[in-house]
Amino acid sequence: MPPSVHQSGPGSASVIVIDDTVALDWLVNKTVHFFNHESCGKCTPCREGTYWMSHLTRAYSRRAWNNRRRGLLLNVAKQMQGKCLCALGEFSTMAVVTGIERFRQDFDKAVKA
Amino acid sequence: MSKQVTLTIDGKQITVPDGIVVADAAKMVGSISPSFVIIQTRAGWHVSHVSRGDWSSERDRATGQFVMENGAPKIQFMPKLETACTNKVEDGMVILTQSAKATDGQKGTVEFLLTSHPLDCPICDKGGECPLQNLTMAYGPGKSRFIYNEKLHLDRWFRWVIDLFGSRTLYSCARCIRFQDEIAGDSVIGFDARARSTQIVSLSDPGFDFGFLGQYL
Repeated sequence: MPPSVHQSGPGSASVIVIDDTVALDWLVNKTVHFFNHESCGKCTPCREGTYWMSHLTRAYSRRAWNNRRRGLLLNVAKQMQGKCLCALGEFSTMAVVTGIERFRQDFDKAVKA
Repeated sequence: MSKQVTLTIDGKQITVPDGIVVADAAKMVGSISPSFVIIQTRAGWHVSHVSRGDWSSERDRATGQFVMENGAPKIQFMPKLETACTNKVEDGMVILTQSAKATDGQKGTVEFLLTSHPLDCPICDKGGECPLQNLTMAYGPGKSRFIYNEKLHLDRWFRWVIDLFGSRTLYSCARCIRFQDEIAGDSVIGFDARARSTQIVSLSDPGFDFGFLGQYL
């Protein structure tokens, strides 16, 4: 399936090839934890935002995922956009925003589970 | 006399000494830009954001002509918000501190800051005269959406005083580290880890001497 079909871009400055057996909520969880670990902490939106997002995505494994948390995760990601000092903070939001907006069904499955 | 620069803040033109930060210039014209830099620090944590003009006018890409707004060339602002407490004033700057984008950034950043601050205002020495409380009242959200109960590390409260500072403080000002280096002359404490995990530790042997502890407060 060509990339133009979904027009999506989870990840940052890289191409991630996955098949359709991988749930995007799992991928977003991994990506957010990577950026949370890599954040240097100099700017507030990145330091606190990646930490907050990692807390929210961690709810997958605890089966505590719900629509309110999904909305809050998207809101926190958008609250970070355009405010971080460097590109790492901006990149950290891309997987979350595109994942939720364009692969909503994967997150809905997590809610039902 | 030091060099002077002229800039526009919220529509008011002001001439200020070169080298000061935007937050200080904003206070001079009455546009209080939120800032939490209350002391000079080595690593300036920042709170405030302002929209900052790059003193160039917006041009139409097709025709190359200036885009007009209210009879004057439209100011082309930078796409991202900038910090008021770390950016220095420059001649011709155009700054908005009350635009929808700027206020949204201020509110969001204060909310982010509060996620890592302990809720111990009633027993805190700074309660009632706290810059963060003032910032929250003026610019912050009325309700917290950060529901995780991990702001106050009570297990560390009685155990290790320096660890207490590192765990409780909102920003890492390094004030106690500098005091220990420059005044006490005993460089035995420093930062460990980064981001939210940053804390002040001592690996000295024999253990850290608390003889100057009162000076840290």
